[in-house]
Amino acid sequence: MIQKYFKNWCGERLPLDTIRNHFKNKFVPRHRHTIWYYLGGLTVFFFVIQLLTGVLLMIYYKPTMEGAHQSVVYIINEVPFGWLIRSIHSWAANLMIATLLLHLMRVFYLQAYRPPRELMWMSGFILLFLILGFGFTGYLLPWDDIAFYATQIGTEVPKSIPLVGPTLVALLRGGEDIGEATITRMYTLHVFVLPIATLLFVGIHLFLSQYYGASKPITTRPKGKDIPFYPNFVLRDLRTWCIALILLIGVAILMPWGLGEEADILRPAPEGVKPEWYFIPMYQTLNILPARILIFDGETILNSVLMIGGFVVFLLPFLDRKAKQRERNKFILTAGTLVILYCIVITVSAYI
Amino acid sequence: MEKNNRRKILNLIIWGWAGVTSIPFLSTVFRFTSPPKREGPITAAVSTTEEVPPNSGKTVSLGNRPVLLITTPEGERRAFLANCTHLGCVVRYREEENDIYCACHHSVFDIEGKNMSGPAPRPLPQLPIEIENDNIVVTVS
Amino acid sequence: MYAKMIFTIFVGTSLLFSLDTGPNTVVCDLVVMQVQAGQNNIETKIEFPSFEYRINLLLYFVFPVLILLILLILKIRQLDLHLDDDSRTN
Ligand code: HEM
Ligand code: FES
Repeated sequence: MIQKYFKNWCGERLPLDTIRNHFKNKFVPRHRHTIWYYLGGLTVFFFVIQLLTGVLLMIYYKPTMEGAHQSVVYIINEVPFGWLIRSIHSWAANLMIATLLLHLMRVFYLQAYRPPRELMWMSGFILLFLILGFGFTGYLLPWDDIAFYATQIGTEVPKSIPLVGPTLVALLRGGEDIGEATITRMYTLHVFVLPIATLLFVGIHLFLSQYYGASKPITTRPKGKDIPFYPNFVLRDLRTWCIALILLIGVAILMPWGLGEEADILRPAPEGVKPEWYFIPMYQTLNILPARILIFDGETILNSVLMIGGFVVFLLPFLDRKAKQRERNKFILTAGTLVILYCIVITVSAYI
Repeated sequence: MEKNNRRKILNLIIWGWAGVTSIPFLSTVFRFTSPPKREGPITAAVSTTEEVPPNSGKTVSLGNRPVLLITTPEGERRAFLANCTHLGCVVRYREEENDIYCACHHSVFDIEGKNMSGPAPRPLPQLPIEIENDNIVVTVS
Repeated sequence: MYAKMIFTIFVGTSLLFSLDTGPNTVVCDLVVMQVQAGQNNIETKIEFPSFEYRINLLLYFVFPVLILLILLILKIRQLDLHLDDDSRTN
């Protein structure tokens, strides 16, 4: 009774039928690569976890030089389940970047970026940077020594960009050096600017994914009929989320996220300063690059290559002429695979 | 009909169980956000005797709470929790009237802390006080 | 019918919470994972609950999710039975 009344009340005021019809008429292709279609949804799941646990951590975290490390210690030791919430936030951040990168690869290999989904690729590319931004700004917040040096190095990198480099570094640090001004800047980015921007772009991305529906791969044969998005595929997404939740809680509880010693500006750099794994390809390339190549700085070269490369990837849907004609583009697939292989090899080499 | 019923039941179980599943998570969030209990009794020297001469009052903080120290015209020392028993404003000592006054809704307490007029429903809680080498030592629970 | 369902869910829930695994009931003895003394004599060593405690906690969270997962899989199966019916054209 009440339920029916409520449904009618809402139905008269909101386009519920339109929405329901939309979901009922949307299908997800079924083929041997369908399993990769869960990665985008998984990334959304981890993002939601980050929002929830992040708000909780904000209650106790203090973005000051004296307060930062101590407040994290307080969260771990004193706040009920504080260690768990923090552990989940740190683990989910890493898992999210992993699923994000895999999602990117699936879109790349199935060439789902081809028309009409250029805007999905471009909004996704921006999301990649926003999420990496979360990782970078969040890393400093506990103010332990590893984080301090990683940020020191990370904010130094843009310095070699011609013209704007030094200004950019000063903007990021809030001064010449890393200090309290850096913490408050990173904090503002981490808890306000990035979440709002990310929510906006996730909204665009998801809206477009509903608008276009899932693409069909170019060559793969379908396996049976397409799966209705609602309820079948939504339930499958939920199933994946349950599995992800179990895994997430499992690692967060069994391998609680640690914390290093409090950063000390005067102490010499400790052994083993490394950024998070997803920044390793860049970091390690910097390590092996000679300081000078011809008349150029090694760093300047790396920055230029990264910027041009980023631009090319951003515009990939427009550059890939063959995908537009629904042909597999061997050249682009090989080039992409080489980049991925390079990143894997260099990451592994940094850890052994 | 049979089939339809079975579907409905499975849906109901799933919704119900999803509710159950949320309990441990919600209770964790609740425990996380619940503030820690106030620490046990704190005893500390909060002022020197010179700073509170006869017929005067002074507000000091102890364990994050305001404490009103007064010395009566006769030289007797007392300490009260300074939050008014009405709605918690901080009270002050009035030399001219020789009483304790809350400006928020005009409650008046006598120098024993007893509520005399105004909306305050209870006397101000009095705190144990000791004098050690010219220091006033107060305990809050 | 519904009454039975709701009854079952209630019994299930109470069973779940009588399992002595809730974070409220397990005694949490702390193990020192990483010891270190900060400057200014501020206590900065961090401590995590013991392994036993954490295993219990894990069950407390994971058990209901696992059951939800099984229910979802059942539901997906039920729906998929009709997926290849010809009642719907593609
Ligand atoms: C916060 C990060 C991201 C989230 C939450 C996200 C989420 C999603 C979701 C839920 C879908 C639909 C389901 C699926 O196909 O997996 C999707 C599709 C898509 N995403 Fe993302 N994504 C993110 C980042 C990216 C990135 C970095 C790229 C590439 C640069 C990208 C490109 C695409 C494209 C082209 C599609 C359409 C695929 C198709 O229709 O077959 N996304 N995304
Ligand atoms: S709060 Fe003191 S009189 Fe109302």
